[in-house]
Amino acid sequence: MKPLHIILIILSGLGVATVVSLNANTSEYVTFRDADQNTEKLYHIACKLNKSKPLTYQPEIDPNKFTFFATDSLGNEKMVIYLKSKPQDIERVEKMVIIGKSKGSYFLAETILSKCPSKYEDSPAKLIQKTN
Amino acid sequence: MNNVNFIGEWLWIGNLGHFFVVLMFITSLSSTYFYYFAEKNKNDNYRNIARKSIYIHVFSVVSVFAILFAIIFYHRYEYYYAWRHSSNSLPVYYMISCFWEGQEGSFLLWLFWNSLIALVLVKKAGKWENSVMTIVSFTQIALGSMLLGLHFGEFKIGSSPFDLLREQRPDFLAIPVMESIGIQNYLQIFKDGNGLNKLLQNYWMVIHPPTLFLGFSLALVPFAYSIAGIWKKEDNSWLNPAMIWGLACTAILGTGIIMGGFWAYESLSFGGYWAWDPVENASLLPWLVMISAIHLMLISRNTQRHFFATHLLTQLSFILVLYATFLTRSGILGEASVHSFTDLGLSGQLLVFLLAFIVMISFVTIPKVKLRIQLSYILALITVAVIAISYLLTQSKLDIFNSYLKWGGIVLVLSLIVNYIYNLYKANKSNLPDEALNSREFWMFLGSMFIILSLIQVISATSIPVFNKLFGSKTAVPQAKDYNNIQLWMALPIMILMAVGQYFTYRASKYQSVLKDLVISFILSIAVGLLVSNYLISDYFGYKVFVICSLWLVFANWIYIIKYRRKHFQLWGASISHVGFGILLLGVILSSVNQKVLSSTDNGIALAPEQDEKGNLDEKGVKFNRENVILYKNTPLDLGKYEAFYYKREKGINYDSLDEFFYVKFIDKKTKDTFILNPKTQNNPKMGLLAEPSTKHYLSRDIFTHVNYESGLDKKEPFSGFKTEKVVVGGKYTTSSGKCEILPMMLEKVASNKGLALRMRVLVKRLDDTVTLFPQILINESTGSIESISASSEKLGIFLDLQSFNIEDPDPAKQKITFELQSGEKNPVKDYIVLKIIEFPWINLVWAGTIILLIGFIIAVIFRIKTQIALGNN
Repeated sequence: MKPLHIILIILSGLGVATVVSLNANTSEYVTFRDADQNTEKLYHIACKLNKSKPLTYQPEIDPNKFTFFATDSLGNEKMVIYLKSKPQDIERVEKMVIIGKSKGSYFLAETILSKCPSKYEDSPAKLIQKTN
Repeated sequence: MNNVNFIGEWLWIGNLGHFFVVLMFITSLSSTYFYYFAEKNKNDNYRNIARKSIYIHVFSVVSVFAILFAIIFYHRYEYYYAWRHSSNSLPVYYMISCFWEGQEGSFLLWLFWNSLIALVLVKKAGKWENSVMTIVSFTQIALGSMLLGLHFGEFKIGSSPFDLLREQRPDFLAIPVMESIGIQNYLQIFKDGNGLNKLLQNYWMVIHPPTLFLGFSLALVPFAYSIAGIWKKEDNSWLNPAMIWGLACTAILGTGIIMGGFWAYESLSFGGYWAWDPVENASLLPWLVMISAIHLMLISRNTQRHFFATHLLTQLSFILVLYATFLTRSGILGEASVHSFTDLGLSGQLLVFLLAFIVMISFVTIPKVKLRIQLSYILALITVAVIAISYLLTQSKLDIFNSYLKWGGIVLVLSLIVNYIYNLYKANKSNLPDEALNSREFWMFLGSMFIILSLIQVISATSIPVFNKLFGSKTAVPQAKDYNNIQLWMALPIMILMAVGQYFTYRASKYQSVLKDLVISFILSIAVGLLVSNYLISDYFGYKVFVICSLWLVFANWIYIIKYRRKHFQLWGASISHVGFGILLLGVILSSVNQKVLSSTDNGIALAPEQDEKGNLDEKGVKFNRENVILYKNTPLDLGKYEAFYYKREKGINYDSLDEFFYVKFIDKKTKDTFILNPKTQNNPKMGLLAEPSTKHYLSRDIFTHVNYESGLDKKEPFSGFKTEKVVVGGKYTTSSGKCEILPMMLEKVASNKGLALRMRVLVKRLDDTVTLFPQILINESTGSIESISASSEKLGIFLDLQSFNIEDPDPAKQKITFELQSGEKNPVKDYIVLKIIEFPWINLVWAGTIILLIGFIIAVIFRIKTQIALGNN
C-alpha cells in the first residue's frame, strides 16, 4: 500500500461520513402532530399561513414577538410564536417552512423561511386599479 | 384576434432581435462543425470558415444584447421582457440590471462573455485553437438554444427575450378596460412596466452578476483545454494555457462571490455576508474545485503525475458551473432558497444541457473510435424509443413510464459517469514511482483532496432538494449552523497544508530544513493565536484552533516570501494569495464568533405564558434573547456601550419617493464619540417592507443597524368620539373626552377658483404636545354647496372638520363668524422604529483578505502570461 492510497482511502471514508452525518443531522419536513411528540427537538414544518386569523405584532408591547396561525399539510392548525420582529412580507406569503420546537399549546419558531408565489409581478386586477 | 392590427407596436425591433438570435445559433452550429473537422482533418480551409462563423456569431450576440437593451431603454412594453423587468422610472444605470433579473438576459450575458473569450482564443490559442474552440462553440450552441423560443405544442426550446407581452400574457388583453378602448390600443394601458426588483437596485447588483458570469465563462476554458488535451492525446502542453485561464477564473469568480456577500451585508436584512443559501453555494462549488484543479495542474506540470486527477477536477469545475445553473434556474430549489428566480419551464432543457456535457466528456474519454460510434448508436436509439413511447402512451400509463424512465435515466447517467472516470483513469495511469512523503507534490495533492472533502459536504447538502425530487424523500435543507459546524473542521487541515506546503520542494526536500523553517511561524502563531482567542467571546476549543491555524497560514506564507522570494516579486502570487486567504478566514471567525447583537439583552427575558385558543394557559414559557429594540422618537435608549437616539425621519425624493430615511444618533458612553446612521425602509407596494441597513465602518469593527418595523406601518386606528360645536376664533374648546384643547387662532383666505375658501388656523394641545391644523371650508359658487377639507394629526390623535358657518355680524371688520366644528379623537400614534443593531468586530479582515487574495491571483496570472509569451518566443 502506498501512503497516498491509505490517505485517499481515509479521505473517502471521511467523505462518506460527512454525507452520512448530514443525513443523520437533518430533519424531515413533518407535521405539528409529529412535533408535539418531542418538545425538545427542532423540527421543520411546511405549512400555510392562516390569513383569516389575526397576525399579531405589537411592537409597543414587545418588539420581539409575532404571533400567527398556521396550517400544516394534514390540515391541523396551530398557533405559532416567533420571537423576532414581524417578517417583512408575511402577509403575502402562501407557503412557508417554520423551524422550531413545539411547546404544547403553541409552536415556537426560530426561523421562518417564506416564499411568495409571484413576488414581483402585478396581477391583472391590480393593473386595472393602477390605470383607473 | 389574429386579425387585430395592434397600434403603436415596434415589431421590427423584435424581429431583428429574433433574426440575430437565430443567426447566433446557426453560426455556433457551423463553427462547432468546422472547428471539429478542422481539428480532425487538419484542414486550414475549415478553420477559416469556422473563424468567419465565430466572428458573425460574436457580432450576433452583441447585436442581440444591444437590441434587448434598446427595447428596455425605449420602454417598449409590447415586449414581455421589458414589461416584466423594467419601468419608466428606472434610472439608466439600473437598466443594465434588468438583464440579470430574467433568465434570458442572464444567458445572454453568459453568451456575451463566452464570445469575448472566444475572440481571445481565436487570436492566442495557436495550435489549440481548433480543438478548444470546438468545445467553446459547442457550449455556445447549448447556451444559444436557451434563447431560441421555439414552441412545439407544449414542448418548448428556449425562451426568447423578444416575446410579446400580449402573447405571453393573453389574460392582459381580457381585462375589462380593453372593451372600452379596444384591444388594438392595449399599449395605452401598458404605459409602464412591472419594474425591477427593488433589491436589485443597488450598485453592487450592477456589477456582481456580470462578474460572476465572467467567472463562469472563464471556467469553460480550462475545461476546453483539458478535453482538447485528451482529444489530441497530448500529455501536458495544455496545462500552461489552462492554468492561466484557471487562475483568472478563480480570481474573477472569487471576486463575484464576495461581491455578492458584500451586497448582502450592505443592503440585505439578514445581517451577514454568507448564509449558506443554496444559490450562494452553487457559485462556491465550481470555485472550490477550480482552486483544487489549479494546484493539481501545478503538480502535473512540474512532476508529470496525477494527470487523471487534474483532468477530472478541471472538467468537474465546469460541470459544476452547469450544475449550478441547473440548480438555480430550474426552480428545483423551490422553498430551499430565499432567492427568487423565475422558472421559465425550461428545467427539462437545462437538464439536457447538463447531460449533454456529461455525455460529451464520457465520449471523449472512450479510447476506441469504434466503441464511441457504438455507444452513440445506443444512446440515439434509447432517445428515439423514449420519445416514441411517450407519444404513444396515454396520460395514466405515461406516469408509470416516466417513473421507469427516471430510474433508467439515473442508472444510465451513473454508468456513463463510472465509465468516464474509468476511462480517464486508464488513459492517465502513470508508471512513475510513488512521490516521496517529503515532496511538495504530496502535500499539495493532499491539500487539494481536503478541499474536495469540503466540497463533498457543500454539494451533498445543497443537492438535498434534488435528492428529494428524485427519490421522493422529504429531507429538510440544512441551516447555516449545520454547515458552519462541519466546515470549521474541514478548514483546519486545508489551512495547515497551506502553511506547510510551500516549504517543501518538488520531488524531495530535507525534513530538517522544512521543520526549521516552520518553527518560527508556528511559535509565533501559537503565541498570537492564544492572545487573540482570549479576545473571543466563546470558549469553544474549535474556534481557538481555527484562529491559530489561520494565523499560522498567514505567518508561514509571509515568512516564506521574506526568506525565499524577497527578490522575486513575480513569484509572490501563491504566497500572497495564501496570506489573503488566511486573513479572510481569520476575519470570518472573529466577526462571526464575536458578533454581538447590541439591541439584545444578554440573559434573555421570560416569555409570558401563552393562552391557547381554548383559554388554557401554557405554564412553560421560554427564555430568549431579544433581537430588536423599540426606539421612540426623541427618547434616548441605553444600549450598554452606546446610547441610541432616534430624532428624525425623512421621505425620499423623486425616484426614491417611497423611501423613508431614519436618523439615529449613537453616543459612545465612554468616549463620548457620536455617529449618525440612516437606515432606510421602503413600504414597497409589491414586496412589502423592504429595509436597507446602515452601517458605521470602523477599522476594527462595524456597527450595523437595520429597521425591522416602524410606526408608519401600523394600521390606522379610526377616529371616534365625534362632537360638533359652535366655535369662534379666539375661543377655547376641548374634544369630547377633554384630552385635547382646541384653540382656533385666526381665519385665512385661501385662493380658489371655485368660490370663497377659508381656512382656520387651529392650535391643538395634548399634554405637552402641540400641533397646528388647517381645516378648510369652501363655498362653491356654481353649485352653492359647501365643501370642507378636514385636517388631522396622528401624532396627537385629533381630527377637525369645519362643517358650516354662520355670519352673525355682517360687518366684516369684526369678523364675527361662528363655525360648526366637528372634532374627533383617538389615542395618539407614537413615532417609533424597531431596530436591530449588530456589532461585527474585525469584519474588515474579510474584505481585506479577499483583496489580498485577489492581488495574489493577479500577480500569478501576469507571471504565467509572461512565461507563456517567453516560451512562445523561444
